[in-house]
Amino acid sequence: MYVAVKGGEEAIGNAHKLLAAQRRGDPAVPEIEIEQIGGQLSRAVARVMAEASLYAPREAALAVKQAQGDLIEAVFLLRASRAAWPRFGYSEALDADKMQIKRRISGVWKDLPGGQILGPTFDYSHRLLDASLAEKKEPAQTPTAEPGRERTEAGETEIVFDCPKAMRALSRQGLIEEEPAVAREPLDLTREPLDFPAGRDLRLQNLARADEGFLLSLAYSSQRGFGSVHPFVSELRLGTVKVEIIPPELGFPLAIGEIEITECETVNQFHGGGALKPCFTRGYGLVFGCNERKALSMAIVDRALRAKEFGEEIKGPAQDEEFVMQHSDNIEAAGFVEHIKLPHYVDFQAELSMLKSLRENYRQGGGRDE
Amino acid sequence: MSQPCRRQYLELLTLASSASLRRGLDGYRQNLKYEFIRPPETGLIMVRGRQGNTGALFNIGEMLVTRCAVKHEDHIGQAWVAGRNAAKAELAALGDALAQNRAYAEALAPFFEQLRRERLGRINRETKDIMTTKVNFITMVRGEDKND
Amino acid sequence: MTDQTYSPGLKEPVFDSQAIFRAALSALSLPALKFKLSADRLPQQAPLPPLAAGLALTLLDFDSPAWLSPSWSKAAGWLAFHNGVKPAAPGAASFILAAGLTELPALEQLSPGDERCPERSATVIVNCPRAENELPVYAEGPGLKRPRLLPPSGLSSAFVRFWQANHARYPLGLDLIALNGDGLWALPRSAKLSAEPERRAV
Repeated sequence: MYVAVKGGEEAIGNAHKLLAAQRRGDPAVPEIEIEQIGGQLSRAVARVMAEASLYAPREAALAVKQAQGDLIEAVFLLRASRAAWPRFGYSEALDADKMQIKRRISGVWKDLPGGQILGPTFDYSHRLLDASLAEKKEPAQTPTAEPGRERTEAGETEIVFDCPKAMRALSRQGLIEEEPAVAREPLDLTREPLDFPAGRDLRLQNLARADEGFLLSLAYSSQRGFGSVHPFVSELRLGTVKVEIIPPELGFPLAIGEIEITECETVNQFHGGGALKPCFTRGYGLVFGCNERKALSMAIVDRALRAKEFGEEIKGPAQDEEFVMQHSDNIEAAGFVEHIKLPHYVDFQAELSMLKSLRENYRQGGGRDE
Repeated sequence: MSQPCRRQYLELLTLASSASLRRGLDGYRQNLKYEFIRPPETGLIMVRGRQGNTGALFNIGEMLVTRCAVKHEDHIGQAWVAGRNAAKAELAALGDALAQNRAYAEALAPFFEQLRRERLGRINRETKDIMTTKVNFITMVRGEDKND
Repeated sequence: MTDQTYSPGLKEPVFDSQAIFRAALSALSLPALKFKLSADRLPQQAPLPPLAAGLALTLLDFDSPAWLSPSWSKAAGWLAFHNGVKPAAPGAASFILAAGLTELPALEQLSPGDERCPERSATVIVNCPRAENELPVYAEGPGLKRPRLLPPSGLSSAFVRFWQANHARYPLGLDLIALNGDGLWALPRSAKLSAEPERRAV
């Protein structure tokens, strides 16, 4: 039961002032700038964009600053501002095959066309705190930037390095299930109420904006036996892709920008046998920004959620689409969990008087206080 | 101007930095008379992907964009640029309108060539850096294979 | 694409569309009462009459496919350019834009929404310049303290019969916005039409 309670206006105003002062911190320390957050805390910005389901690096950096680094609060801020912008339309499908690659590795092929490209990764670092980062120092150099060398050589042609999708080898031999293009319009969970059973289009959209921690735990649970997905990583790739739209009045595809994405394709247990030709099955992860932990988790959970499609026994929460899809959104989750801190004065009075009357009955029935 | 060609320079304008557009087009912006057909407007494009990159479509999430259309003389210039960036959208739309205009196209050619070179330079620089992280495997010969 | 594809839209998109939306909302809340809109809020160079143009830019987008009547079909490119509006057959359209009552498609075939989403019904926007109604028609229902005489706009008795059936399937049904010179009036599906007001009418 909800009863409107008035009052506290002045306290709220002061709480906001206090929050702003806390956000700013010690005034003797320079204020952090949006560009610093975007450039030096880029993984936080990427996470906020993915979970807010809005690719807007500058606004996401602003949200991180305003939320004092509370990333779920930052996601909330970005989602709220998203609601005020009109939607102009839909893009053409991204093609990760045409990605300008920053990193691509395969866990199944050692020598694949294009090779293993590590890119900027934490993987081989020793996870030792680097005390030197606490000091101000010269900007870090990229591998090819030698001091004194002219950095702006343009060149006449683009250096192309061909990195075809690792999955091609398996799909050419027919060893992995096919993924044929179909022209069907996908459903959009920001426009349609969620309905079960949900198609894979809705599930992937839901997972792409899901809370990273929630997906990570689900993926882990599936690998450990609450479910049965423990895949091979055919390929994990990070890079930028062009986003294109076809404005109705132009009638030809037009690039509107470039975005960074992380994509993960997994190879999973066989399907088939009997009359069906056995083949590997696929899991797919695609997220905004540099975020391979989430892309991997998404690919695992995507495959786990396909259990019904392959007639597999449902053994764990990662395979249960209602459980996954209804609890994956951290803004919904935070709202519902956190609402209990708000006034429930009347509900509680009701519970209290109920308990008192139970106590009274207990006393009259011969029960005694301790 | 033929469509593929217009498509190419529209892309150059869209993907260029705000600073590059200001450098090449701000003079025109200040001195020419043009009207807004569609003033700069910020909104969302739902970005789509394919299941497994080749399969059925799904919605990944939205992207913030700013669009603008201007009319200079008889030419309609259009722009769609990433982010909330009204100034860039306006400059890019004006650049599109001028590029369709014979009176300006020639004067603008070096500017477009510069945009192309800037973009190429950035891509090639990044590619070179990324290529240094490519793994060269060295296969170790192991003793127990002797009897095979 | 016609030359008019690229004619300007609203001058002040935010404020103009707010004013137009307010007028449409008021008209639907107070059926059969005309609300005026000042000309400087409306696109004057559009391939549609200013009022229809302003209303279309305010209400339509790529999510609301529209059917344009023959005299207005030349505006399709302009609506696509500004708002991404897609053309649709009458039965699949969220909005019907008609240059006059005679250009309306058969109203029976328009979408009345469904039980789960009655709001997904079609909205009819029709130009109704001042003309004698076949007979005086009164609207009653929510938003009307007492029956109100519909503005003279050439409505036929067949239309009144259709609207009676439309009202009877509430919460499903069409809504209608009539453009009348310098303003608009509306009939929401909740409004009941009758040829003569009931007894309590004054």
